[in-house]
Amino acid sequence: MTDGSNREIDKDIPIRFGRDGDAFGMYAHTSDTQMPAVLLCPPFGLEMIRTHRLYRQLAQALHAGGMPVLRFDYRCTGDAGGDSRELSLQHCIEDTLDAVRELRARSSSQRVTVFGARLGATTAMQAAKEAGFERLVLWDPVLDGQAYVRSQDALQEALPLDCMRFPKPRTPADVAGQWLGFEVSNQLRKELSEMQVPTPSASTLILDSRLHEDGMARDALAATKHATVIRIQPSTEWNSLDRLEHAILLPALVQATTKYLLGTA
Amino acid sequence: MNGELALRFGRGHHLVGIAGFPTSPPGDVGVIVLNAGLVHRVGPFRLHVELTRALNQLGYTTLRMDLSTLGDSGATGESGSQSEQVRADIRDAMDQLRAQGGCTRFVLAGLCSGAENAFLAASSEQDVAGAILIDGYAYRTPGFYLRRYLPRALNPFRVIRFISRKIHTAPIQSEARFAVEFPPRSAVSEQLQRMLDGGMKLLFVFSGGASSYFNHLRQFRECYGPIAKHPGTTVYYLADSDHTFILAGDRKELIDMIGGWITCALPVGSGGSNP
Repeated sequence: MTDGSNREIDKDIPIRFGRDGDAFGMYAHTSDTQMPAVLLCPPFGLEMIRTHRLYRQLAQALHAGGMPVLRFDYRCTGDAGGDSRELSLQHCIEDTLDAVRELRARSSSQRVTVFGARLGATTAMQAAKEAGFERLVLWDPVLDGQAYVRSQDALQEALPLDCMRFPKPRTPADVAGQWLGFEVSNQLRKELSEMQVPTPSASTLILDSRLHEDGMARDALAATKHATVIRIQPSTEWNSLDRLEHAILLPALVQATTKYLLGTA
Repeated sequence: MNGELALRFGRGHHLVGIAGFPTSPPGDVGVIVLNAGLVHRVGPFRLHVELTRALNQLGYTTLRMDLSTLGDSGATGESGSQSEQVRADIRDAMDQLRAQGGCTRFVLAGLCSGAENAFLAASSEQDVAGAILIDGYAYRTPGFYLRRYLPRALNPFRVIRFISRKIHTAPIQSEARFAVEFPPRSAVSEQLQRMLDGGMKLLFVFSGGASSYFNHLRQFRECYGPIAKHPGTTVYYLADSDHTFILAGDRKELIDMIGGWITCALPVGSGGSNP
């Protein structure tokens, strides 16, 4: 299969990598060694599932433009090994670094750009220095961990009374220790509450599809020397109980990201 | 990941799935888990991951997969109907487990549209020994309407829910979100009877999230009559659960239920037959 320019487009392949082979990824190879490779860091929990199709579309668009692309599941998420309740922010950072190494080895490109959404963006920022990312593209990054924990707790508190979901109310015990379908350990809660998110020194594009949360931290990030902000419409309903099973599809975001990365490759 | 193999497979090399293998010597029954709606192969809230790994622990080989164009699977470019493509994808999956796991008989499992597709293939494909149909086909009966409307005036929560739904001018949101087109009851009954007469084992699970069309365990008998009493039929009703099993405890209950059923109905290493 070729893309019209007679460049071979391989189908992306499922791979296992990382410590104990527990991480999972979909890797799309190209033979164009001049192009930087792209790592797609997913968000956590339900947001990962809701954005799965968008991530695939983004990977396909970048791959069609000649970039090797790796999208992956952290340990304890998606198809990776491990139970959801064991998810840890520190492990996700480690897995991101493993993914970068895997991508460099498979693509033979040392230049790596990262795309991340929500806590995927946060993880990318925390791994950025050691990973040596050339550029970062961050979609609605979570910059205030305490605010994030509060918002997830509030959603979970409202869940048992959701009369559109449950035939009769559920008890607090039924919903304890979870955030929207996923068990959450005290360790993860602590990591998120205490996290410090470093400002990247590499060129950063912030895709802002929301107006209100993390406003001050986002504005501070946007004001840094290497950052550019693009407002993406419509706003993404990350935290709406009646849209939990809805896929998040944003053609404008895929287009903006592709244009930015291919235009400045 | 020990015991799991990530695959690209199929007649067009277009399908993506994760095969899971038991640590004990595998039996001959493979369980294939199909997409729930548009959610990729991990399932709602990772349900399919948890289910297939639990079945691996019980000695079953599994495959959680994306049907054509869903999740990470591509299209084949074939010109057949969607039903034909679903059947062909499932044949590809069975071939994969034959080759990789030594399976000779298969159980197809699915939630919502996954149940629809499992039913479609189970009713037509060779070597399907069982099906797990979660929130699959069922039909409103007089008993359904009686149970639905009589208690409402007596329960404030239900009154609120009723009013809340009436405020929406569009169809009920949960129903619209998960709505599937049901074939005529007579056609489904006939196919179920044929499947059971051929020795197939069927597990039906209905959740509280199916309350727009199913609201009591006895409704299955109201719908399907003698099929409910067939020895190959097992029915459960998880009245408190929602349609996608958002709560971890509900998923565990569902998975334990499926594990208990399959070890009785299709024991490992028995050739798929009851002792």
